[in-house]
Amino acid sequence: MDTKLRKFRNTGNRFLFAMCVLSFLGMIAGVVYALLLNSNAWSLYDGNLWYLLTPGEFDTARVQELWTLHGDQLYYIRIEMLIFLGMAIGLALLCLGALIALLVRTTGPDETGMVPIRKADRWWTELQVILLGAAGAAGGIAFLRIFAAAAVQTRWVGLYNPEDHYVYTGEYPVMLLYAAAVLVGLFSAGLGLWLMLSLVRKVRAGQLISRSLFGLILYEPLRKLYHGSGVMRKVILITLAAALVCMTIVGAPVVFGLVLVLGPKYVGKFEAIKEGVRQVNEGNLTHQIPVDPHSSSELDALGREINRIFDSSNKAVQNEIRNQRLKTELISNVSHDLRTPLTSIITYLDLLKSEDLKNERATEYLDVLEKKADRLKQLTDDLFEAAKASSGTMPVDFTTVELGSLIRQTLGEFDRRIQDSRLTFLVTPEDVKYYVRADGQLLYRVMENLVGNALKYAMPGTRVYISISAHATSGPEVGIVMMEMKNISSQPLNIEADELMERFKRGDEARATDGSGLGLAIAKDLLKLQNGRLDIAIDGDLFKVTAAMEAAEPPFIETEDPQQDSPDQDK
Amino acid sequence: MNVLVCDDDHEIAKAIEIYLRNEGYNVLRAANGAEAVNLCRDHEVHLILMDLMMPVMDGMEATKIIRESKDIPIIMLTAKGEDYDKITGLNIGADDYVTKPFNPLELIARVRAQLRRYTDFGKRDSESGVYRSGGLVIDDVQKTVIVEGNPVAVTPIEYGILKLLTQNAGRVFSMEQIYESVWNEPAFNPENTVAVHIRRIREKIEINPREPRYLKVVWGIGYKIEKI
Repeated sequence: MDTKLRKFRNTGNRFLFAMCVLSFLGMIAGVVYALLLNSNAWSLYDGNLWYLLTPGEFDTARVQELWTLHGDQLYYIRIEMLIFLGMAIGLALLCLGALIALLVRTTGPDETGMVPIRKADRWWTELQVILLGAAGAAGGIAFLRIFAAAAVQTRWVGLYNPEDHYVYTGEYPVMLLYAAAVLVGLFSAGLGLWLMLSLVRKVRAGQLISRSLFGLILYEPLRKLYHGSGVMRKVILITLAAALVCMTIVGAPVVFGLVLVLGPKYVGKFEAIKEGVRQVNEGNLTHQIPVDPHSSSELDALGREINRIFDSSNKAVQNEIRNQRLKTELISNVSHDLRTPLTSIITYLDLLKSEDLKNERATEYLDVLEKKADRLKQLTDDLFEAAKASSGTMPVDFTTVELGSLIRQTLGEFDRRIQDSRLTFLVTPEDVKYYVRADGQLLYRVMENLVGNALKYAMPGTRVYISISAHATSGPEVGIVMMEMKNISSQPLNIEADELMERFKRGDEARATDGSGLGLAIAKDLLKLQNGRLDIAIDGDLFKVTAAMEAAEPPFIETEDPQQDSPDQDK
Repeated sequence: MNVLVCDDDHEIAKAIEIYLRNEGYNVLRAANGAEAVNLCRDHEVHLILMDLMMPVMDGMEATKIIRESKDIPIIMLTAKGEDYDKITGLNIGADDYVTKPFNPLELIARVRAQLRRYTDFGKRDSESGVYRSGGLVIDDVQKTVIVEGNPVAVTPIEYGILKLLTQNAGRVFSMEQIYESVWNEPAFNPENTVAVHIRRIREKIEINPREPRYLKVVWGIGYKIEKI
């Protein structure tokens, strides 16, 4: 449920609660006033007011006489009484309505189908019942007494006959008594309602007993024992029996002896299991818990089960290590087997070129062969780099690297190709340093692939934007440095962004160019090795690469003054 | 000069032999590590080109054995392309490595560089105003740059950068530091000016600019001239 709705419901519940308490008190007040009027009438006119009010039925001479004497006053008193009684009935209905609404709203099941348990419900049931009784009895009596004391002093209850009205002037001012009555009434009625709602909630949740003192110390344990496993029953019954045996003078030493013999044995077994789990968790995968293989003791059985888990996880880890090693060896061996013949091809092509070739076409064919051999070399290099990067066997040497410098260095390396490409590379911001935790050599390979990618596929004459920004992350870790590289593709990008990072994937048009289709995949894997992340987004012809890297603390200090070494020395 | 070519692939060994003979070197050939060790014992060998993966005895093993008695240059030929292999190879005593498939010109250039260093060893002069790192010599008196004995034409800015880095060989300079020192003005926004110059210098002084020997990039930090 969203918070707004919850807030609304809570406000509604509070309103209902207040309404219930207030209308309850108002109802009692109405009844008390009505009764008081009645008793006033009795004492004034020597009879129950109802006698006087219904002259038709009790048409005695005395009534006739009273009516002729005090007809006006009796008439008003009767109206007043009816108003109070009506008010009492109305408030009683209101109180009942609010109570029902409250019961429905606060004790019913919520969206999950469970009755929500609140703080108040955690109190023991017995305590709640006692408090409820106290609030009802003591609070009720106190309220009635104080309120009645105030009521009899209230002039307007007998407003229409000030001279004859029986007015008692007590030692407390009327307003003080009323205030006390309201306080006592609100407190006890509120407390009572609150406890009642809680009790109803507990009944509906079926927790009346389990949340009582009785349930806590007797019912629940016995229920658990009854439904519990054999081990539980065994342990508890043996302990109880031991306690019983201990009561006899003869039995006590026997029990002591048994505890001294068996206690250390079983606790030791338990601790061996605990220690074993800790050892394996800390990386000692071959550890085994010492157990008696034939014992049917519960702890031994548990130990055996845990040992079996250790075995299988150990096997999985060993397998993984072996697979990793095989993969590395495979890559390395295949690399060797491909490169050896390629070496012969390239060298003999070179030798052939220096031979005196009479035929002009032969030179032409030789050029094609040479170009293709170079391409084959490039492809094998990329392939093995990609295989190594993705197999995770590449060693990573983390240092602190200034990203802006690295990007400028990379662009410097590509200077000639950038000038030939008619692309402009713009790096922002120019004067802020961003330190990242990475392997400089590997990060250069990432940048090399990204810049190479832009050089191959960006529209000539456009600009390539490289922007760096730092993002703090919450928590104790250092932040993230983001590098974003945007360029306009020269060909329509009819391919999903994710697919571009898969190995050998290229936009259809790109097949004609001399890339291997591995550049982005390599960049992504290399960045992953350095705990970074590479994402690609395509928006029309806009191609955007986002690289996220771990930020690093700036290095302690950079040597400030290199001039000191050079110009001074050569003079 | 006798060069020993050790490779189990007959064609590759033969091709290398042709290139080396064209350069005027005398070539001995071995098909595995054990043969190489024997040839080394029986003949005077000035440089070895050693393949790593070979039957009978591999290149690592052979290098280790030969190093026990000789300090001639050994260049590894590796087809695995594993950084791990290169590092191990250099650690057990190889002087350089070439990854297969190699550019023949690069291979020859590396052979020549290693041989010059080997034969020039000890002739190193300590005159003032001359800074060197391996085969790279900056003569600040005549304002010239010499790589493996060949003078290289550089622009004044390139010369300034080379001098700064060679004087302090082994030390890493950030792009800002290089700019401020060579251009002699504050580096408000050096952009990739320094990086572009470095790349140009590398094309002039390195055998393979992609795998520089002298002028190395420390990614994300700066540049340095390796102390050799």
